Amino acid sequence: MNGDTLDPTLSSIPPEAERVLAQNINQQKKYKRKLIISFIVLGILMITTLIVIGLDFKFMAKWLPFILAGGGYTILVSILAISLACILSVIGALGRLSKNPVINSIATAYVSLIRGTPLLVQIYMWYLALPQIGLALEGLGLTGIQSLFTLHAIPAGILALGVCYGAYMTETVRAGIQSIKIGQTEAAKALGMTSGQTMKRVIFPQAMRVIIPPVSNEFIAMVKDSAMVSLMGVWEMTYRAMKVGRRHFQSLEMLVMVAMIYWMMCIVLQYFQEKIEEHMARGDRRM
Amino acid sequence: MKKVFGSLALTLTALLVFTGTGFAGGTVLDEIMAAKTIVVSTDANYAPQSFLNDKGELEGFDVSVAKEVAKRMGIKVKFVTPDWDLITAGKWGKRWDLSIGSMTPTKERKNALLFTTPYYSSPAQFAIHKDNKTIKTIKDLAGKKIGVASETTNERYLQKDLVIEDTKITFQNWKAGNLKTYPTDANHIEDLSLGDGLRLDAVFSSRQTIAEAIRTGCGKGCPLTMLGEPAYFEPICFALDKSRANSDSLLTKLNEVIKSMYDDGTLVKLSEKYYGTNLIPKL
Repeated sequence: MNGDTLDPTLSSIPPEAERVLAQNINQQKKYKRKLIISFIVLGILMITTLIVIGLDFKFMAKWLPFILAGGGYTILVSILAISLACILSVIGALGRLSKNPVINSIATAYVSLIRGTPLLVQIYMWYLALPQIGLALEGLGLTGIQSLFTLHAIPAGILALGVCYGAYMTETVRAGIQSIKIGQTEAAKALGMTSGQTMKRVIFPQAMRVIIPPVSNEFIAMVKDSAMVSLMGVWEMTYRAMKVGRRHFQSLEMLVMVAMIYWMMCIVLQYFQEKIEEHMARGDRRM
Repeated sequence: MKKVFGSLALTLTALLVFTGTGFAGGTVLDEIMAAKTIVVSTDANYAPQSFLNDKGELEGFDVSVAKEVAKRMGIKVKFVTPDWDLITAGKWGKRWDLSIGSMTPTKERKNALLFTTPYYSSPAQFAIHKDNKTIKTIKDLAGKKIGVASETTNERYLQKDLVIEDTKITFQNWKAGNLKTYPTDANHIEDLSLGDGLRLDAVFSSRQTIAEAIRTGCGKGCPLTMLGEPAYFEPICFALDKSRANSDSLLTKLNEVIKSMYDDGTLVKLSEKYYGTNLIPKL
């Protein structure tokens, strides 16, 4: 190694190729700049539209803190519901892949029923139908059971969202498990692992990589669907926006504002989703 | 944030406590007096009956009446705000004890709910956009697009299908061209405010709600005018869950409280404060 070849990049790349590389980098820079300009223009267009349609910005600013205070419920309901959905989806996926006809049919029926009915209807069901079941059971002699079945708004909302998203995510988890090649199972068997051990130590850790990005996608969707618990009188963001809007007969202002708040929340979540995706894809890139 | 989570933790513990209670076989009144709190549902969509004030707290005629009722019973009041359809459906399953939400005791609602004696009387009013030059009387509304809140007595009235005991109702002898129903009154008032005939030609709501919209709504007063005299007056009562056993004691107690609020002029005072007029009928 003498002084001429100290910088390996300079010596190993021919000058023609270097020019092409520089051009590529230049193009990428230009593209990025244009992209940023487009976004800024879009943003300006949006703000102008809002001004042109004559929104009462003073009114919006005045109520912003009150609406934001509902964000705590939005986050609480979403986080608890996605946790429930994760548990249900793993159980559901194992059920869907199970060779036991009873377990398999229960899991299949769960996915089919929940995916086949609107979330709005399900929320009313959890809130209205459960106390009726409780009443019927009480009629059969189980005194005091109705109060256990009479869910308040927040737990009813968490159950409704969790059970609904659990059904969708069951299919995600099942697909993730099935995406692992049969050779992995065979290798585990050859090592003398039981099927439970195979699932826990070989299949599932690999499947997680496939499953987690779509799950964070579901979480973003759920943050917005949590608005539906406002029907039952939970004072989350949508509820507050609707009530204030109706009080002053200025619903549009409030709806635009609450839409913006949800959007900002989702931009933050999207950022984390991208990070998680990068993290999960590391294994692939190394190969 | 800390405060939000604190109150959430409180709600969650309250839930656990709630699910643990209710095993006693006493009357509903006993249960409420033992809990020292009455849970009242109200629909915060209607100013000036029940709405969120500038601090984001519940306020209004119904809210004040509820607070006064609790005061006279010597207990605390707690408000819940479920959707209107969930209130009128009945079968509340002890989630709340009482509805003070400007409800009219219709025949259908009596299947699911129990009603007290009326605490005020609400005039039902037509209104049109103030730019309209062609609609002069209520009769001119024949064939027009009229906005009304769904599952309300106003909707039933326009469908000529409203029965309220002890209340004489004369239906209009014309038919609306298109009866457009909305989730709540504020929605059709905003829709009519967009412009005359744009989506609606007229709305039908309570006189108080329309007066409030004209006074303070839409930023600087909604561009509406009232049309003609009120079509009818409806009695407004508290509602109780019919499916809850042993509710009679609470009903009797509430009727006594309402009577005492009539007798000392409290109701008239509250009506004048929130409605700017006396809507309390003579007993």
